[in-house]
Amino acid sequence: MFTNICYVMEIVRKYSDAELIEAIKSSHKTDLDKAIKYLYRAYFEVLKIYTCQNSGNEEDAQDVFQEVLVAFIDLAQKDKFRGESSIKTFLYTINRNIWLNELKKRGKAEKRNVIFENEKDSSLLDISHFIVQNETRKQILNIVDELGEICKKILLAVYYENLSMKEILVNVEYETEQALRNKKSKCLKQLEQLLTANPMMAKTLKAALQYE
Amino acid sequence: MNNNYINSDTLIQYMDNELSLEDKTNIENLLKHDTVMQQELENLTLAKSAIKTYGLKMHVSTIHEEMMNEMAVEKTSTSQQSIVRKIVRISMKVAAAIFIIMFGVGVYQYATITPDKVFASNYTPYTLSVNRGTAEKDMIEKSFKEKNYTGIITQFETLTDASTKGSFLAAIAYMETNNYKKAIAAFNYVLAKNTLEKTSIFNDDAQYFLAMSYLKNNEVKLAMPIFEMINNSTNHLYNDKVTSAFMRKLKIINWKY
Repeated sequence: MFTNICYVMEIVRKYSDAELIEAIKSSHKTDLDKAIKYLYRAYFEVLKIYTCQNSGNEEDAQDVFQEVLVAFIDLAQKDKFRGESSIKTFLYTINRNIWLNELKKRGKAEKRNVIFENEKDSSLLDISHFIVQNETRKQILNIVDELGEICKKILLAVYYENLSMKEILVNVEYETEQALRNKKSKCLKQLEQLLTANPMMAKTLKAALQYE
Repeated sequence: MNNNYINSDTLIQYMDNELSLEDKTNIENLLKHDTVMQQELENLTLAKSAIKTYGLKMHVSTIHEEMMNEMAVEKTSTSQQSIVRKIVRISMKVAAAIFIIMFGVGVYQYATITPDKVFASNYTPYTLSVNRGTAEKDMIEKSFKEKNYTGIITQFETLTDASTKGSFLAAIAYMETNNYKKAIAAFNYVLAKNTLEKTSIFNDDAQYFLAMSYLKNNEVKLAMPIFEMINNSTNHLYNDKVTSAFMRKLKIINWKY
């Protein structure tokens, strides 16, 4: 009860587009956390309306919004968001395209075409490559999920959280840094094999990476 | 570092920027010509990138849960506030409506109330109880039972020393013939006689009908203290007739006249 009240009473800062990009690119995890929360508070309800008004439901809206954020943050962190449009417009466009693509996959092509025909003139951004990347991203997530929990934990700690071997050692069952380092290499090679097992898919993944 | 010893682990170290400058330079030189090595580095970089993407997805997913909870709480809170506001608004409207109705009723009552109306709403003609076995020698009493009010008055006015009962019945007869001034005098006589003789014959009746006579005669200020006394005395015979609602009407008349 009181925790919930604290949630509501949390001081929420407002970001300009430039400040938001800076926060997303920051090396401090708390800055990114705050930026993501801000994106939720500022844009989730707005984008949810679009999905819900176009054959989607609350759950669809939530799933699509998560994909939108992952795509946007990924671009921003790689300096690929050039600010040609406002963040709001950009998010809206990605959201719409991801959702239309999802409708297409679900076999609601006819409906999707009607929506698309009605809206294509209002599309200001060419984000078709983001859609391709989004699909690739989903494949990547599925492949990473095939790794064991320990491998995922170690690799995430090293490559996403940027923790040192000393810091990671506290949370895993390895006695020495060298043993942990060996495990990390083994896990990464395992993932590499999983990613390149299918040559066609590996090509797609690399192409997406090269674009990024 | 010898090319023969370059393995995946070293490439990973190179990718993670963990090699010395010398080893790093060595690897870079080898990479320029070794396509297999280039391919492997490319694959490892792809794996590293995949982990970063996966991490970001997990990160967003964790915050997503938190934010959905927060938004649900905010929605509930907003919804509850909205309900409370709605209840307050409705209550205010009801209170305002009640106030307007009561004000309207008050204004209507004030505009239309008269001593005659209040008198008519409360007046019940006096009836004399039957005293079996008592010889009806008293002509006044006989006439009263026959509702011969003018006959009572004629008889009363010829008497030089009327009884308390006879005086009271005569007072009622004056009331019934709309002669309130004389009724007032007769009731006052009954009350005075009781006081003098330390009796209470028809005392409660005389008090009530005296006050009613004052009211009918537009002498509300004289009627008020008697009605207040009756209203406050729970043992008074006419306490049930002089209700709080009746007293409110009297007060309105008192302000108005």
